[in-house]
Amino acid sequence: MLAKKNYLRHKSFVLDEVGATLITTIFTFLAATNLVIPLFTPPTTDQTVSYESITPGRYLICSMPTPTPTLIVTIIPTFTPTPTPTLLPTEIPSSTPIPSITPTPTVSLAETCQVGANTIKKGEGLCDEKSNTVTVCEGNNQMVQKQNFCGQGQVCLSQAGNFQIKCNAACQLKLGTGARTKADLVVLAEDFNSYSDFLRNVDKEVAALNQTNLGAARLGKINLWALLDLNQTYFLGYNCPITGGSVVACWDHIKAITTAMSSCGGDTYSILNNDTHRVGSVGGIAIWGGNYLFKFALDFPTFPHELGHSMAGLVDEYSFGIAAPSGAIAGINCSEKASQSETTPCPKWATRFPSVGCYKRCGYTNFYRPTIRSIMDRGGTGAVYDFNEPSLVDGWDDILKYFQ
Amino acid sequence: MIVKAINFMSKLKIFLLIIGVFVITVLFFSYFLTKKDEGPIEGMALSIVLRQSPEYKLSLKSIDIKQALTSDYQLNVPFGYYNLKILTEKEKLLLAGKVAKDKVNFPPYTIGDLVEEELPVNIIVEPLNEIVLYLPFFPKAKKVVITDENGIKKFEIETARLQLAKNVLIKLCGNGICDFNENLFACFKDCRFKFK
Repeated sequence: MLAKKNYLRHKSFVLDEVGATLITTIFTFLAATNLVIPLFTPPTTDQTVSYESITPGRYLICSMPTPTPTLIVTIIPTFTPTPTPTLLPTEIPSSTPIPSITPTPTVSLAETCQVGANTIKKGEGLCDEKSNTVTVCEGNNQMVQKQNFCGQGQVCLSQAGNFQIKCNAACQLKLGTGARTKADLVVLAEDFNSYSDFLRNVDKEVAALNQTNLGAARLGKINLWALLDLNQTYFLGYNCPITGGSVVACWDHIKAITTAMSSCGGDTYSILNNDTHRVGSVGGIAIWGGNYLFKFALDFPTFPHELGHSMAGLVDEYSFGIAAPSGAIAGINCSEKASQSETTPCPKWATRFPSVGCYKRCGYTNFYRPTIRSIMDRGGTGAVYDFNEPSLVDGWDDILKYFQ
Repeated sequence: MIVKAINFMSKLKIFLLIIGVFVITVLFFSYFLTKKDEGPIEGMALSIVLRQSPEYKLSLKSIDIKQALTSDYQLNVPFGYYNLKILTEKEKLLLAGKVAKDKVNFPPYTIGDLVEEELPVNIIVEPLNEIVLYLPFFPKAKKVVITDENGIKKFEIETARLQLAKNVLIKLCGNGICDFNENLFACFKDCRFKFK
């Protein structure tokens, strides 16, 4: 038995020598490449920055952002110094037994700051969403302002009744999967004061898109991002001169497209104004590549209508009040030529879209539209959310054909 | 019993040997196959700003490499556009896309029931004064070629001399993406195998 055991032990030893050498070689190699180390290294966490549950978002830097201590702007002297706790001796009646006092954990003044009536701990603070600035407690009642506290591609979030600093992705995915194979539409905020208000309105835009007949196949090719940056202004002015005329309002297209591209990888953008630059009943204005919308108009088909211009290149079907000037192009969803009757497709659609008609007035009074009403027609009473067939196929399908 | 134990040990030895060979093979290939392609560096953009005259003449305003995301340039622009191509020294195509050259102004969309005659408006097309490009940064790119709708060359920008600063490459290690020039050994945390 012993011999057997010795034999076994011997065999085991022989195996250990070879196996151990082999295992040592493998693990030395793996350790040299750090492959095994992370498995045993406890994850490090930053005490001051906590993260929301993962929300869909585009992160420029995928690693955990480290708070940038570089931009210490001012030490705010406005906070009142913490009152030194005065201990008022209370008379203890001798007859009653003295209750045993369980020691409560005390936080030293060096580790706290006073914010109004609240005492907050070192590392906690307040987030100003408008400027993406965190005012963080550094102890000893010192509150220090730090811009871009959460790092590039991230923003701080303010929380009612909570002084823990939370960070989130600046680009919030509101529609789509975030896959790179899709067209990226970025909604930019103008004159909003909180992310929640801005995002609530972006949700309205998404709802309006879903109300159209674009369908899952077309919408499935689009990512819609809401950029959480409340500190930007794009509006330039009213009655802006352009070649051969003027527009009721204009914005900085270069700034908007640059912001959309560089921050969220955008291909196109939509600026959402908090009705601060509203011009009468104008709900939105578009150029190809981007549009500018007013918040009040989100209860109407304004957003998908403007996207019809800025993304799909569709033209208006409501009346411009003038006949087409020479050289004017009818565009995708209008026809220069009439058919023999309103219910017969205009010649340009006769073979491909036999179910459409040819109704006079399509932007210009002498052009023809494929259906009586569509989303590219006027807003107000009778406004509809559906694009007509030429708009869907020759407009949206064509513009999105390289996306998946 | 002993024989069984010996057989078991032999099998274990063979098994460990196979595992060892497998691990070494995978690591070897991962080292040599990692980022030897001509892909772009994630999170870095080749930022180009072009001036455009009313006669559609282009000139370079600025060129830079920035830490930023980029557009795909895959929208099929329905109005006036330029074709963009990023090419290597051997004329290999790294990226092809389109960018608008015109600012197409559409009339405003009004909410309400306006009388048609109140809206004397028009679609106005004018050349963009400036064209801003945020292109993916390909370390192997030699040039960006811009052609018009007919394929006639309008502008060419040499990019071969644009290099990322070394500290940028160091910063890229840790972005969660195994970038160009990174490998298992140079940047383990980005290029290691993910067990998830």
